[in-house]
Amino acid sequence: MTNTYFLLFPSCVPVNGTKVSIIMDLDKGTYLEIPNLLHDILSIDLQRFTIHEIMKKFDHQYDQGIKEYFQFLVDNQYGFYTKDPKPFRKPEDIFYSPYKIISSVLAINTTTNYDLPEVLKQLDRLSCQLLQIRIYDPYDMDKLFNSLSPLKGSSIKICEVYVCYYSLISEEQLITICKEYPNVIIVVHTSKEKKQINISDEFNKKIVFTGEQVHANTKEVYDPSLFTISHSMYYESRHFNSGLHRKVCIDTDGSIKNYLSHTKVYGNIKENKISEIITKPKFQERYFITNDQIEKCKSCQFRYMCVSNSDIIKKNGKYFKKHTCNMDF
Amino acid sequence: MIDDSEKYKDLISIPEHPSISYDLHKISISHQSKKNNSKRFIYMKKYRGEGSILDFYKPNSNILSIKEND
Amino acid sequence: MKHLIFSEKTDFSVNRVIDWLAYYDQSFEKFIGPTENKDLFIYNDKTFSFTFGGKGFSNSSKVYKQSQINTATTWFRRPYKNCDHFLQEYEYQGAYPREKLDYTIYQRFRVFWDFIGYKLSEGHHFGSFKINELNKPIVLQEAQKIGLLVPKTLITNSKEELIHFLRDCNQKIITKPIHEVMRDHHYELEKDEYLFIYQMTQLLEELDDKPDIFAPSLFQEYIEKEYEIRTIYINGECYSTAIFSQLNEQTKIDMRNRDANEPTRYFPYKLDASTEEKINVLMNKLNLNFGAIDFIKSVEGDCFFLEINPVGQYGDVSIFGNYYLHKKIAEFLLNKKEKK
Repeated sequence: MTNTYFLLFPSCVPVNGTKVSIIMDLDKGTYLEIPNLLHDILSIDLQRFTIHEIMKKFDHQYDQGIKEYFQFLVDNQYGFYTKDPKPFRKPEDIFYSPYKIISSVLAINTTTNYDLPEVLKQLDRLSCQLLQIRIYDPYDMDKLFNSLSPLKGSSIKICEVYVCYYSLISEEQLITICKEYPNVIIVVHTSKEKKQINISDEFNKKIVFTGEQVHANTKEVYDPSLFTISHSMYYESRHFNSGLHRKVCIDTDGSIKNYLSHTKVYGNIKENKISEIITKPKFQERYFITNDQIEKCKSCQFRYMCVSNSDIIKKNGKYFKKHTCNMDF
Repeated sequence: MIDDSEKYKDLISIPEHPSISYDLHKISISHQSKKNNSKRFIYMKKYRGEGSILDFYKPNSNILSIKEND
Repeated sequence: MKHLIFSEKTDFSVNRVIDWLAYYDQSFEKFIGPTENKDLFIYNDKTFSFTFGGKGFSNSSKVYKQSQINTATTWFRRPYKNCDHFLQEYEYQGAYPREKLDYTIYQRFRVFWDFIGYKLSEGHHFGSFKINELNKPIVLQEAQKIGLLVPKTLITNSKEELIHFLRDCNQKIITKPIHEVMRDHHYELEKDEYLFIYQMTQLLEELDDKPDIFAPSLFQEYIEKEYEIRTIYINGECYSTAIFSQLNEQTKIDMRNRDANEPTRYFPYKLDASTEEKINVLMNKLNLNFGAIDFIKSVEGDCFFLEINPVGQYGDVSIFGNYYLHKKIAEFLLNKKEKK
């Protein structure tokens, strides 16, 4: 033990919370709850101090606990012992993305008259990866099928479409859309019956019918099942707002926003190109406010895995999220 | 990848011969079916080739209160 | 001016570099060998003219189809080795055997294709056109000459020599393919059911089983490892990660044998300066500005050089080291930085 070091793998990131801490496992996409004291021990520069020296730092008060916890972490492949820690390097704490738009949400209702195919073309040119289209009211499925045509051959990875149930909705047409556009996932909301239609084994896709409603005031949910634990997400959330960074949303009237629930409007798709709006420093302001800078979130152990799109308010030089949760235990 | 070499041993029977190198007697075989490895690649103009779909590092970036019931 | 990429039909690491090229508003052409795909760059519809020599005669290279095609840079990611993309059907009724004529024609295109690779390599390029020339035993010998530690190696077709070698290596040796020919081979059993044939590094502890007769094969001492090291060499820079494949019993010998639920752990790593310098010398000697280089760190603390893959995967090292290698490659292509 005297000349042995314990190192955590860099994919295993200790994050402290108010009452409890966690180790995020970026490789497995899971997290492990740990006591705050262990977090403090793991926050010591483990490459500089041997296990023995760490024990000494705590006046040998926790020798047994340190020994057992380190062994537990080794057994569960969160870390390892080594006699030569020098060649190991912490990954550089940086995040870059080649996508000018990472994600986007478009809202449509009966009064909407912006050019959907043109919006899709613009988003594809900006390398948008994740797209969500929320259609609040009954909508003609033939029209939807045709409007989605720019998705063909596009590099948009996922396009979630929420369509509103109506009595004449044709399941056949929904299936046709899913088959024509493999990157489209359809959810039918406000449905009388809850069910699923399997589309293809190949893509493991299905159409979900849900009784819940999607409308202009639908709230975001914050739930552990919706947390995202991944390498890119972790580094992104260290430097950018995990929800709003490179996100652009277009409301039913064509307003261009950071997110649909925000009040601030930066332009209108009927007059402006998306590219001209998203390059404005005002539009990008929220990109750079990380959870580490926001009150409450900054002491939450889930701050590098929570994707919240809440608007951010500044009060007395401090940032606050407009919508918060109570998950920081 | 699962090593199924024992199971499919007879499928590739490598003869002992001065033209065949030693390592070829130690070939491994893995059985794979397309269904399990659901192929999520489609042609994308940007890459002039196949790109992967339905896979993203933060798929829950636009959270709604609707949860898939599975 | 466009970037010319030599790739394969599906190559996700190329896609990630294209993402960065798009980010920097660069355009590219992709060549993958013979293809029906109209989007892709092909050679058999183009006209070529190369001039040089003489007195007062100018050196020139022209590739054109209606207008001249200028290549800004070339990335030999996975260069197409054959030259059948130049061959077109022709009528022949002569008495001389058709296949011999075909062979003659093919060999001539071979020389011309190599010449095109040579001309493209004169310009700013990344990767190597001539990956076929990388010979595993030669690379090991060259590495040893430069002072890198290489595992005890035997190349033989003699069982007797092999038995001696096994004894020398404490009854633990491995055999690996001298050249990876059967790699990634799919054999279709029935619809959607495949057998994937691959070659892993195999541990040998006894030699009582067959074969007794075999062609020249490569054997090395088995090295008990603390971890593996994979270094991605990009134009003078080494980006390394330690790979803890020995944590799982299945990946102890070869990390391809892994369980999807148990991730392999990585740790960004810095090779010592002298090893990095030797790698640089070796890569310069082999005329490579890209390579995925494998090492083993033994439990005794020695660092063994294993091999260089000039078309190796670098995505894992990039993600786990947070090195942004796709971005670095795109920037190398468009900045035309001078080689170190």
